[in-house]
Amino acid sequence: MSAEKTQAVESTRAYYCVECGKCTGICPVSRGLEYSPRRMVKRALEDPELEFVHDSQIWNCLTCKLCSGVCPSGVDYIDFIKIVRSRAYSQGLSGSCSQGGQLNTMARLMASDRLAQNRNFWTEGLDIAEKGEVMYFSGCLPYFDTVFEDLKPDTLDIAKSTVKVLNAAGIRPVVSPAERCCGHDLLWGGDAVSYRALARQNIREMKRLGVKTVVTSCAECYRTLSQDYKEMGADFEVKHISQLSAELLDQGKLRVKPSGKKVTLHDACRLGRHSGVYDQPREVLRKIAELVEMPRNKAAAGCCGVGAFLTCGAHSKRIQVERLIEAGATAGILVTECPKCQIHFKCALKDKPVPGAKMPELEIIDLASLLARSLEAGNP
Amino acid sequence: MKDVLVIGGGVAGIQAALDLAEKGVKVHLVERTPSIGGRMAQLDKTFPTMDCSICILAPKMADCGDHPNITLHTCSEVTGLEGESGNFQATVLKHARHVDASKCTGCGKCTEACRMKGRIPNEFDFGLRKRGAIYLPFLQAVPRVMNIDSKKCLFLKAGKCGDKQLCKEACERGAIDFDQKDETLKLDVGAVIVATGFDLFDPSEMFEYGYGRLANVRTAMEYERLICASGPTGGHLEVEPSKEHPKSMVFIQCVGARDLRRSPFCCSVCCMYATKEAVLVKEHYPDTECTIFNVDMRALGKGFEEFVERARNEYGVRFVRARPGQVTEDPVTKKLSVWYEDPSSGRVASMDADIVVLATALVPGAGTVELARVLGVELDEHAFFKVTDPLMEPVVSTRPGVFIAGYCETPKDIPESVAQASGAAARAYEVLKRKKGGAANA
Amino acid sequence: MAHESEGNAAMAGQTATFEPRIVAFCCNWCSYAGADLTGVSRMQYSPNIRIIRVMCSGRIEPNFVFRALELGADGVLVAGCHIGDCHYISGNKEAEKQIARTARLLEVLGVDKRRLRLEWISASEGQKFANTVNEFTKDVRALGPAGYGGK
Repeated sequence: MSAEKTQAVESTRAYYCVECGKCTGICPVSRGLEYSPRRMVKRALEDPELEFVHDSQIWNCLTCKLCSGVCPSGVDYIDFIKIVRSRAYSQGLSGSCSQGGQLNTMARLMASDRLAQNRNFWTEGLDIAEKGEVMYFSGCLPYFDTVFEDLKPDTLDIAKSTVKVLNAAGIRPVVSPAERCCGHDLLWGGDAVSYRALARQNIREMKRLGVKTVVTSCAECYRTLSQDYKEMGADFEVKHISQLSAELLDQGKLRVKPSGKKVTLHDACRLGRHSGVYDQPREVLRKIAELVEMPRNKAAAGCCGVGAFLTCGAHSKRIQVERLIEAGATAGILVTECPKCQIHFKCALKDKPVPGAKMPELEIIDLASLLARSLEAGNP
Repeated sequence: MKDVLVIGGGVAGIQAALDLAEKGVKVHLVERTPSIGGRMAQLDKTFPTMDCSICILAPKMADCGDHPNITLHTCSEVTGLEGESGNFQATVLKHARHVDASKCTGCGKCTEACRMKGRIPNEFDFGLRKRGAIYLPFLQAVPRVMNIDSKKCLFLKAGKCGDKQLCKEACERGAIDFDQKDETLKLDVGAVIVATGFDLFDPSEMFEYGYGRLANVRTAMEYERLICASGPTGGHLEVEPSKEHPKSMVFIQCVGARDLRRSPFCCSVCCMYATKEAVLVKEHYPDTECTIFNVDMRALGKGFEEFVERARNEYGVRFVRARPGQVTEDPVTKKLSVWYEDPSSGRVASMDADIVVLATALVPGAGTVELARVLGVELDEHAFFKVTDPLMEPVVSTRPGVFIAGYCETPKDIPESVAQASGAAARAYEVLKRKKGGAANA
Repeated sequence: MAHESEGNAAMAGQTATFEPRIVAFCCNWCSYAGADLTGVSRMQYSPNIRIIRVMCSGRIEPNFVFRALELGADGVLVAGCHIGDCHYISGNKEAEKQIARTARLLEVLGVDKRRLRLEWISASEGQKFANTVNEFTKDVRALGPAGYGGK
């Protein structure tokens, strides 16, 4: 058995699969596409050289981790898919990435040493530092609004709001112009080599600046920086803005006034099931709004329909519409924790892609943005 | 001849106590809850014979209560065991039930009068019925003595029950005694038999099944109470909220069991009891579709495989080899959908169900670790009581003079529990009969 | 505002024989035909370009430009029909939008916007094609290697 197969089936516990099919039973993709996590694992176990990586189905997984949450054998299916994809990529195969693949190509361009970005244009008027112990990692936020301008997602508001919140608590974060994409999409898309290049450069820059804590407002960056970067030698602390602001509110360093609005929260897969962060975003939201839970919340939360910008299709739209209808039946405002979730939901709201589905009237806003708007005037 | 202490008043404890009592041994039967009977009293019918469970258990319970050689200590727990085989001193803490057992006739007038009547979910029916603060756990309770839940009784909690205690007023025998105190007993016994049975895994943490959130998702034991004629609905299965009887039912096996992240072991009885429960549905409502989602069908005992075949062929129960991934509820119709991967086509499918029954894992009780420490015996990694040789000495615990019987040793069904109880009783009797300086082995 | 050209110009000065590699996306109906005319008319133009024919300049999306850079291009030329003459009516309007978007992204990335050029060249403008290519090649040569490809 090849070393890659060993890694794919042993470290992920795929060997323990009893073929009960529970994973497929809960998988949101399998309800719209011909796709079965159980069959994927079975094929890997029966296929000594992992020839099945040529099947396009390996790119269908959202990596939302609902399956691992119910697997009685504790198989880490998304880790398994990540390894399978990396083998596929090394053989020249790849999935179809949204927007023609431009985000992945840009990420790879960012891996270049000679990069000199102009990515801090949005920090005008905000209090940032050049060196320091706390860094705000803005990830791909300076690019999203342009790439997705038809949706008018205003994801840069998330970045500005996060820094505003930090400033209000007396923190001057470092926002480095040498920051690069965290590499999440490349890693989950099979391009582990480029991901590692990005990670090495980000970690080098953070060390150079003396960073001890990294704050991010993107759930996918959060998972990557706090888990995957550890294997690349990172030793800084990582906090999502929802976690840090929960702490700051507790310590009295932030003062907010409730907005009086009724909101519901969409748990991002990378923050929730991947990282176990459920309570702190809720602590923050309860102080600034009236929080009503959707029926599928916390570990049971639905996915936003697309993972790492891969394989977006009709099945993604169905998943998004189902979640939006669920949100609309719960509250008039949907709060997200990840700019990508926001982009996917706004896309579905705009396109109304499922015929016959009654799309709700819904405002979508990020937790950081709502928090910034709720800051009491004259916060120290 | 010394006495014997039996811990646990389920069918195994009852059998062991009766065996010893018939031999002339004085038995102390200690039970944590207010009545003996255990899990078997909560079942409707038993497989494979479809006997009414309480009907065959109650005579044995009554025998226990009446037998001159058996002393029942209900509402009690063992808090210490000193000494050695043949010569133990057991400490038993008897919680006050605040009713004088010598005066109470079990007439029930106090329960009718109680101010908290109908407000407290009762344990016997898993909260599906409500009781008052003074109550009898179930109709056939032994001993037939009322008892007061001191955590819920207004007078015992807050010192005041309206302007007067209605139960005391209703009782014509003056049996109610609010000043009754907990008692500590010291018992001299020659041997101990542990038969503490099992608790039920709470499936609320498994979000995929919706237990606790979806009204029509039940555990198997809740189902037993619902289908039982003496249960909260008089034996009628009711779909919430319409209260109509179900047209389709789904049984999901191995919920929390054979699960490497929770209880990795097999609970041994669920395949059979789910088949039995499905047959019961068909007997009540022949037109109702019944489907059992199983991992295996473990029908190992005498007549068991034939029973499963009957269920399949005569009653039309369907068996699907799959573990459903999710149970969802239609927000409008409230009908449940069970999502699974069809094993033959490999495609995701959903099956409609009015009621879903979860066969939850049966696990060692919450107090097992502490009891093992008190008794000085070892547990295995799943908190089952260890025996010195699982092959040849399956009733002998790791402390000489202490024996194990029933589910608390390893998952098993009623006939096996009864047989093991008799075995433990025989070994305990040996200890009593042994002269000093006899065989070292317990 | 920083961009890599400041460093590159210095580098280009050292590598005097740097020849830029330029990818030219030409639309089938106008500019590709125009390029044909250039060739048939025996007009000389810099050999640095590689022409890729697309049916309409509106097909060009940001990823084409980024991929070209990733694969080693130093400049990207997009040529389409004059506004109002598009074979698909409004394809070249879409091209304007996409190229503007790409230019903004390049700016944030720190890639000199001058490496991307959009021109309208009709089927009869053989000379314009040659002039555009020669000018653009000269400009990109002065900017130096983009340096993203060939890793």
